Amino acid sequence: MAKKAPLVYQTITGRRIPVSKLSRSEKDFLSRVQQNYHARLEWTRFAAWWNAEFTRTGLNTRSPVYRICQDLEARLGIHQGSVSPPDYRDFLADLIDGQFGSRQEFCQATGVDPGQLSRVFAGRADLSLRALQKVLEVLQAQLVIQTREQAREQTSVARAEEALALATHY
Amino acid sequence: MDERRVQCEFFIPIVRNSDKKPHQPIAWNLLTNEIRRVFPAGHSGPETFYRGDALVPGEYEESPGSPPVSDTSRRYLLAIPEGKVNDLRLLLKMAAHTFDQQAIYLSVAGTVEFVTPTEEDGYL
Repeated sequence: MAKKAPLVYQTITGRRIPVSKLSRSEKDFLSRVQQNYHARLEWTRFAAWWNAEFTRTGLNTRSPVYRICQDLEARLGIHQGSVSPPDYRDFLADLIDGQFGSRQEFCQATGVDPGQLSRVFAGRADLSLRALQKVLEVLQAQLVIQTREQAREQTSVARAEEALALATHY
Repeated sequence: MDERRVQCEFFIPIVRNSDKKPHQPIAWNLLTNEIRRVFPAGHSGPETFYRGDALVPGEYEESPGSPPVSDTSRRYLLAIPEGKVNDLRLLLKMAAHTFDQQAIYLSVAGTVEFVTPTEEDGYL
């Protein structure tokens, strides 16, 4: 018999968050999130709601559901035209967070100047192609060019809803 | 005895100052993460983290005498101990850089100020 594939939630930057081992309180929280998300609230209203609910629940920001909610919020904002679609900075930040835990640890390990990295993330500077390639090498990642249509599909609100439904009924 | 808390309100425009483009998702995530780090919510600390529930339209003057410019901001409300208001100012100075703003509107218990960053203040 084929082995069941682990259930994952994929963020707009392609990060795969396992959701098959969520605790009862994380699952309950995510169920409430799913109901509100389905209502397609205005971006900031949804953000206000999930942040307050997350605090009330007492979950830790290291919980996978925190990252999932940030992703859901971003999708709504992009869909409603209030947030820019992710660019290479968002992808880099997510890779660094996932592999190093923090920018400081990444910079210590790689020798990248933290000030320069902050300016890049703030859109005040860009990495040269050479510097980007060096960073990607460390992160074991590569540049991929995609069409706008593919990018839109990756930030789709409906796709996130499907993933949420699977995660909460697992 | 618990330190007296004050209500702080601040506004983050939803577009960058230089090119008027909406911010990247990472900017909003960094702000929320930093607020939660500096003012831990829930059981771990006395501060409570609230979030504004609507986009707020407004206008500002780029320089004295120039016509007002309309903008839309996200409003944040925090109830924090009086002694930590300066921590919020430092956070907002970094936010000003990250969100490409010349200054951030901050109201502390009803008294309005504009938090203006310098190059040394860094980024979120």
